[in-house]
Parts: sequence; structure tokens; C-alpha cells
Amino acid sequence: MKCIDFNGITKQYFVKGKHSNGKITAVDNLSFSIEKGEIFGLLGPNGSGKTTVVNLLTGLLVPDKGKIRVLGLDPLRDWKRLRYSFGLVPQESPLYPELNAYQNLEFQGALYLKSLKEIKDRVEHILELVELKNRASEKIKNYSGGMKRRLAIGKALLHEPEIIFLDEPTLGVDVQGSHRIWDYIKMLARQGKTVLVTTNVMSEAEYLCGRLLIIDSGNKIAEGTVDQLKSSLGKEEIIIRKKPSLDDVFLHYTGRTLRD
Amino acid sequence: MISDILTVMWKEGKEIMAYLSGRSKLSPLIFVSVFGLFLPFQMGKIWVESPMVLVYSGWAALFLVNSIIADSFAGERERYTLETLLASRLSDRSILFGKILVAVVYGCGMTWLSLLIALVPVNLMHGQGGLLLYPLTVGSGIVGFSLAGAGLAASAGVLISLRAATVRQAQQTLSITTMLLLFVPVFGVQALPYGWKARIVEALTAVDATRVVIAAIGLLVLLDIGLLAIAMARFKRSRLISD
Repeated sequence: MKCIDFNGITKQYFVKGKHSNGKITAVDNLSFSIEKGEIFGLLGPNGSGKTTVVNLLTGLLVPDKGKIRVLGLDPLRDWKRLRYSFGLVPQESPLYPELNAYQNLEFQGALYLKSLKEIKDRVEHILELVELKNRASEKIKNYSGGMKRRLAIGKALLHEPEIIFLDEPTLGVDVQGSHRIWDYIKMLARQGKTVLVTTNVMSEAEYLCGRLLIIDSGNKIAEGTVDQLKSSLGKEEIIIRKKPSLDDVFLHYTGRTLRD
Repeated sequence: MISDILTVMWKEGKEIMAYLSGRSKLSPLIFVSVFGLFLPFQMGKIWVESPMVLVYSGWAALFLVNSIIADSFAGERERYTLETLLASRLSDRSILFGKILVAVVYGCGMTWLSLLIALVPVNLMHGQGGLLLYPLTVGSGIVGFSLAGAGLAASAGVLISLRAATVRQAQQTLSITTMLLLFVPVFGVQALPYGWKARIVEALTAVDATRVVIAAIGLLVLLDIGLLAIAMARFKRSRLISD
């Protein structure tokens, strides 16, 4: 069953600067779909349009062209219904640094849950899940990058959404922290939730994602499972390295030029 | 919508309290000491009877709101919390009103607190056995002026903060706007020809003082409503993200 349908979407930004004036195409006639319960990876170099895709799916941006359906609903027209159905973990920490972990989750709970008891129970459960119960009364500004990331994921899960959007979930997190976050994501998929992960980390995509979409400059470059993408490389390269890594696949499709 | 506004106010209030209990914990204390103790002690009876206290209440509320309102949206943008706030199920109005109301409550609350504390030194030093209180008309004026002043700063501040990239940028724009708002009428009146000034003074003294106060509050309220309407019209989620 299709959970997300992103159909022929184009999104342009108007850029006004000292040296450049005009429109930048962030997403260019891009189409893909995600099945329910799938972990779908969106890969691309910096500035390739991954965050724009997430913002379009959550209804934060308006597409210039094309049609988006999330759980059969329009993110712009049906935003109020849809926002109960997804959790968002943006690239940067979405936590209030002057508040503690409990208060951050309490605020999220107050937005989505009905009773004070329900809020308290869910907050306690999430703090246990992300292993921050003993640090719950500490201000976020004192947290490490990994702790912030875990709590941000917990915040997105608090209202038990059907879909989770994770924008570079392990950015700046150490190996242990990254593996713990991967465990959470795998757990979500086992619970039947649909997960969209954007990432630059090929090992992450390889470990987590059932299907991948590689984009560059807002265009679709390649799509498929990890095995399909690996086998799509030419014979010549397979001779050089028996089994190419996902890093090789990514670099093959997007090149080695720095984007920023 | 009311419960959503209250939820936003709760979050904003916690942030303000955390901010004030941190590095800035001295500023409210200094404010209350100067305007709740020092000045009333020096001015004595005039503090509770003169219409000057009305000007003070409007100015103080405006100043207090100015000190926190720049953070409303620019701060969320700077801390990267704006995206998830806008992606939540909260309506545009509940976010906007929640942020404005919490600033008004803070500005008016602190102003009224300092004015209440001011009664202590005034009565201790100048009470002469009786109880000095603000007359009903002055008290009503205080409430009106402080609410209108706080509302003006909050709606103008939110409008500026909506488009500012950083809190510093919002604060600078807000400071310049406030200075223009306060000084242009003062210098403008001074620049008028002598005859005009005399006519204005004559007109003001001929009119009942209560009417002047009501008219001034009414003018401020109209400005508040106008700025609030502009802020509501300019609150576009997609523009806030792409900006």
C-alpha cells in the first residue's frame, strides 16, 4: 500500500544576493513513492534537495509543480489531519536549549495528547526508550550531540505517528550513538511505521534502508534496493573491486566534485 | 484554539523564566528597584497622583516587551526550532497570539508589580498616617496605557522578528523603530512654529484630561490592531521556512 506519493514535483527558490539573483531549482520534476512500513533512504550530496523534499512532504513548503499525497492526503490542504500522522526530526536539533528534556517532551505532548496523565506516561516512556531518564531534568544546552539527537527522535515519536521523517539522523553523532539511533529506526519499521531517512552516510543507508533514491541537483539519479544499485555499476568496475560498496555507487552516480 | 494559545504561552513562559534566571537575572531586579523603590521614594505623593505615572506605565510595558519580543521568531529560527514548531499541528494564529500574549503578560505583569511595590516607599515616607493609593481614574489609565504600550511593542516586535534572520538583527530593527516612535513626535512638536505649538497646548488644556488619556489609549489600541493585522497577513509558513 502506497504511503507517500511524490509525483512530478518541482520546487524553485528565489535567491537574492550580491553575486547572484534569480531562481534556483532545488527539486526538479522528481517522482517517487514509498510503501507502508518501509525504510526508504534519500541519498544525495550537500545541497542536492533532500531537506527540500522533507519540507515539501511535511507541508512546510509549497511545490511549484506536481502532486504530493501522504497517506492519501494533501500536505497543504489537509495539514491539520496529517500532522497527527507524522513525526519530524530535522537536520538541526529541534529542542529548546533553555528547557530540560522533560519540558521539551511535555510541550510536544501538550500539542498532541489529551490528558495530563497521558502526557506524563508517554514522556516517561520516551525518556526510557532513548535512555535519558536520569538526565531528564538537565537543560538541553548541556547535552552532547548524540543525546540531543536521541531526544529529538523521542520527541518525534511521542504522539506515535505512522510516518517518521528523519533528516540526516546521525549527523555529528559518534559511532555508538549512531548505532543506537539505527536500532530505534529498525524498531520503528518492525512496529509497521514508515520511515524516510535522508543521509550522506552510505553505511547507514546500506544498513537501514530497504530501498534508496539517489538525487543530485534535485534530479533523480538512481533508485532501487542496495543490491540493485550495486549491480547497476558496469562490469569494468566490478573487476577492479569484486563487490563495490555503496560509497562507490554513490560516487559513481554523483561524482567527486565538492558541492559547498 | 485557546488551549493551543495557552500551550504556546506555557512554553514561551518557561523559556523566559529560564532566560531570566540565568545570565539576565539581575535586569528584572534592577527594573523593580529603580521604578518600584528609588523613583517613588524620591517623588513621593506626586508618584501616585500625577498623570506622569500613566506615561511611565505605557513606556515601561513597551520597554519590557521590547527586551524579549525580538526572540519570538528570530530566536526560534536561530535555534533551529522554528521548523518543528511550524510542522506541528498548531494553527498560525495560536502560534502568533501565544507569542504576543506571553510578551504582553510579562510586560504588564512587571509594570504592575513595580507600581504596586512603589506604594510601599511612597506610603512609608510620605503617607503621614493615611494610605496613599492610585486614584481610580489613574489606576484605569495605568491598566489601559500599559496594555496598549505592551501590545504595540509585541505586535511590532513580532512583525520584525518574523522576517529577521537573527535575534540581533531583530533587536536592532526594533530599537531603531522604538526610537523613531518615541523621538519623532517629541522633536516633531518642537520643530513646529511657535503659534502652532501654542494652539496645541491651548487645545489640550481646554479638553478634559480624562478624554485626552482615553484618546491616547484609543490611538495606541488602533495602532496595535493595525500592526497585528499586518503580522497575521505576513505569517506564511512556507515563507518563514524558505526565508
